[in-house]
Amino acid sequence: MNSTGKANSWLSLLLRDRFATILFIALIASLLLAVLAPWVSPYDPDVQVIESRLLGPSAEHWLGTDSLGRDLATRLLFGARLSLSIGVATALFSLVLGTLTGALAGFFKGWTDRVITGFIDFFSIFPSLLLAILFSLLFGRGVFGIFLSIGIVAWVQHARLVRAQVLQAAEQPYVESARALGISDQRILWRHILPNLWGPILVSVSAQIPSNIMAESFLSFLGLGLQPPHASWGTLASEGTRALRSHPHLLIFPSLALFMVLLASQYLGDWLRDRVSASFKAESND
Amino acid sequence: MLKIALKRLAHSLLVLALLMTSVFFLIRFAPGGPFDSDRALPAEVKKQIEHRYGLDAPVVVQYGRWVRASVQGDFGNSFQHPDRPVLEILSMALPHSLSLGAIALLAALVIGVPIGIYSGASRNALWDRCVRLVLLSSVSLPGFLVASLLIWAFSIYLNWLPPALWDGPEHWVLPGITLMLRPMALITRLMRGSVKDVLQQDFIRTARAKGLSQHTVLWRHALRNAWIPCIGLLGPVAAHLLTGSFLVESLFQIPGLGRYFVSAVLNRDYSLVMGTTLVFGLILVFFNALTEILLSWADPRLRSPRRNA
Repeated sequence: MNSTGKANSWLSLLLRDRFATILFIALIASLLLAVLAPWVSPYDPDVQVIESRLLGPSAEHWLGTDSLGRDLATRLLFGARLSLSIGVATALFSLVLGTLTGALAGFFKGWTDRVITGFIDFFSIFPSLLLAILFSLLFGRGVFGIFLSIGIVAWVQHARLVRAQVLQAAEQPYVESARALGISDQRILWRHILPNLWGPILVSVSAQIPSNIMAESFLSFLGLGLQPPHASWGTLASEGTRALRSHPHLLIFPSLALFMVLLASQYLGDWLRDRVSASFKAESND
Repeated sequence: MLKIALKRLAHSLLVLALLMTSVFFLIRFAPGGPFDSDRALPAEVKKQIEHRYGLDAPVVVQYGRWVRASVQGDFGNSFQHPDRPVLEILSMALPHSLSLGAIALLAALVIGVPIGIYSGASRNALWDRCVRLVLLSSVSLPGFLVASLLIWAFSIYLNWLPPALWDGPEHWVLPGITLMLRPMALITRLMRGSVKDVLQQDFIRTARAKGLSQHTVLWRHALRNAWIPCIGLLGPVAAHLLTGSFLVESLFQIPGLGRYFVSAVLNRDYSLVMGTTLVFGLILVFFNALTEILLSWADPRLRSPRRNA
């Protein structure tokens, strides 16, 4: 089956699950809103209007305003850009670095494998958030620093998975026959093994997106992540807790946005995992 | 068994040494220092302070000093609280964190295990769907939302429970619930999957074929095997309790290790960062080694490849 046909059949499978469809649409909508934030948001995220401080939700300000009179809905939309792009960017970082190192370790074995697995083992003893906090000391608390701190911890899990998969695939008959045909190691790895593993790789990388978004908001909430001129969902929620007693909406809305996106991406990630493992089983049974 | 334990011990010590060394150099090379405040200090004052804390020596020399001192149990004084030795802060904070963690773990087990077993064994589709949805939501719920909603509902609105500090049982409830959620979801999910898997195996079919009751099959045969994969959860659960404590202790103002760690990182209090990281490292390495030892005890096949043959 070609890849567009595959994508189409997956989409029609997805549309048969009503709950998954709703979440899928919600996720696409929030991504679109994040991308289009400068055009769809009614106000400027940084303009402070002193007369309209700490308003509750109303017709003019759908989600109310914050302590400096900035429109919360607008700030949420711009916050989505930061939170979501850090989530996606760190997952891409894992995709590149983790796939590369995992594949090398699993395929070439020997000292390459020993060095890389040593690294993976060391990292996986400690919780990623603890390590990310320690790394953020070095890389700083800017957008790039936080991206690096989260990414450098997250790729390890992906590398471990790719290594295991490549190790398994290298025993398959198709690899043996490719070897017998005199195809070079490099070509076998990149052209034959990895293309066959796109399913598990996709699942593992997409599963990282929600946890990395969560990591960013966790760090920012504690003040160890992005700093206030940057508005991510974590910093917005952190500002929100200060006025919890009188103005709970400042905490509730950013947290709800985060919850919705995490729920949707977790559910769809699980859905994808179930389908991929099912379709891989079906293919190998053919 | 002893050989495995000793080997694990050596490995753990190595990992710990590696962690502390990496963190030491990582914070020394990080931009900014502990005495950079908003108000610039006069150059000579800053120099004097840095000399007092030994920060003006080459990093390798500082490292040597740190190793020598900490092997003797001296972690220096905290930078933000100049008169308090790190060891004193750690020994005051550790009991708070341990009791918080123990409460959350206990609650997670008491709630998570039965729900997991029940939903793994029951064939009620609606119940299963509900459990899956609740599990998914509890994994996606940001801890700060849970904590804030709890504070808002039980402390501000109902005024039943205190919103902060750690002085007695009534202080345990809200932080405990917040910290418990994720470990509980992990435990329930794994228990459910494990029971489901075991119930499909041949020896269960044999037990059923012998005419044993559902109750005996589940409690005598299935659960004996189903709990083994749960040993593997020790590490992840410890990790969740630990990172969760950063948030929970900061939000509920509990003077535990997590809160000291966060404020030490924020203020670049090097000696306190090192001290707290060492305690975290010890806890994690301990759970890691414990997992492996327990697994090899519970499942003899993992002990050594030779005995299999």
